[in-house]
Amino acid sequence: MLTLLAYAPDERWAFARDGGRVVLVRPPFQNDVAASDAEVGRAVTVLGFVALERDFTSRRALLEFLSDESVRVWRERAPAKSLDSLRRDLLAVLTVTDLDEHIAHAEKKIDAGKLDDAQTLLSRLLTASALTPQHRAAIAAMQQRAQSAWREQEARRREALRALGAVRFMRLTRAPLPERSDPLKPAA
Amino acid sequence: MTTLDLFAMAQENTEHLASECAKHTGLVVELAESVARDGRLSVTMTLDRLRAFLEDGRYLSRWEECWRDAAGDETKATQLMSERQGGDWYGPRARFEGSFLHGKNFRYGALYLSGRALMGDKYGPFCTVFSGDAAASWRLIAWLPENSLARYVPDESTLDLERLRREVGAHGSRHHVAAIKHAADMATFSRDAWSTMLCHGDRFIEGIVAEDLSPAMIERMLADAAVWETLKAAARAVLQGDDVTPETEADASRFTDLRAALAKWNLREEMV
Repeated sequence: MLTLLAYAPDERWAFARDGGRVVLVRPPFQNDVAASDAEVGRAVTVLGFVALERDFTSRRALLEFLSDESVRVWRERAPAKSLDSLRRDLLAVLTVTDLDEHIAHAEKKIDAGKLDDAQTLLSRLLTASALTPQHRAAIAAMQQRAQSAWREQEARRREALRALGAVRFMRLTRAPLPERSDPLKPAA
Repeated sequence: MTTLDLFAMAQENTEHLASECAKHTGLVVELAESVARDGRLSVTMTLDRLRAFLEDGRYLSRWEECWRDAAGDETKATQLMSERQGGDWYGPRARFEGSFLHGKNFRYGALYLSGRALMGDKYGPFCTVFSGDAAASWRLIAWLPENSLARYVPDESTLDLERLRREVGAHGSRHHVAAIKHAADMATFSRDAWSTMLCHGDRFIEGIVAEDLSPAMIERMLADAAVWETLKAAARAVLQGDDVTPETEADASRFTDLRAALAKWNLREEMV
């Protein structure tokens, strides 16, 4: 049995009483931090944590509550918007450093063979407000790499299918090879 | 009736603190010099309070938030305050703030030298450090050697005023407050660990300000690396795919709002 004492919904942080001790439960929810009643008091009266005393039969139930609250307070505060609209807002506020990091992340995706993910990310980054000519060049170079990697992947896939006799079978049945998304095709 | 003026008490205690501090030598004096030169007011914040501070341009005390939400209706504001703070937590804080002029405008922070301050541990993932120039212009600021509630309000009906008068310092005496408190810790903490000695977990020197705090006064904006990375990862997930959970969408939205608010004040987060 866990008793919630106070929580910060945006962060999913919660002070709870677990047996005889007070702990702070916070993502990634692996190690709770020992806390005190005085700290809970300060968190509530100074920091704005929401005071709520509620029992939870399991830790899982508490984490589900925190997750639900995180979404609820966001929906209550923010006007509803589509994912596309959120994406546009996001692309408008990304800094040059954010873009550097996202491009570096896309490169890791290419290295890991996750070409569709990389291509979607790169093509969307092209509409970011803070995009510099250097970013544009880096994205173009990476898209080329993604295309080459995709061709290599495709060649290997066809070779594997051929080895399995699948090509012959498909020819017999006149079934075309399954389509795969082209990484050069712009994402929606 | 509230007749006590915490800030006037702090000013009146200047000579006493200076003479107490003068009893020490060596590293204690060096600590005092370091705090006098670099000691800043830091305010730890949750994500929502930081966003509101940056968007609205004012950092409100908990009372001021209630007045705003009650549209200035005192009775409703009091009711809101009681509801939001929960009975057990509300009493001692109300006792403390209710004892002083400007009590309902008290904003609480901690003395900051460098490092992580109080953020990321228990109180919130963000910390704003206010500039020395801004603080030098504040009249309504006082420093206490510890969390005021734990030290001076043993229960809802008691305020240890005698102790408070003896220990409270004005902004110009914050280095004396720090040196007196930590004189006995010099053998335990190396110079490199002074910032942690001053401010970590439930150990801090409390700053109380009743001045308006504006984002224009922020010198540094510290962000807990783990929390900031979570928000950034959510933003990336939204950029990368269409199949995201509501929680991820909420975090991406939080990142977007915070980024926009930081840009408004030309602020950059420092991950620590």
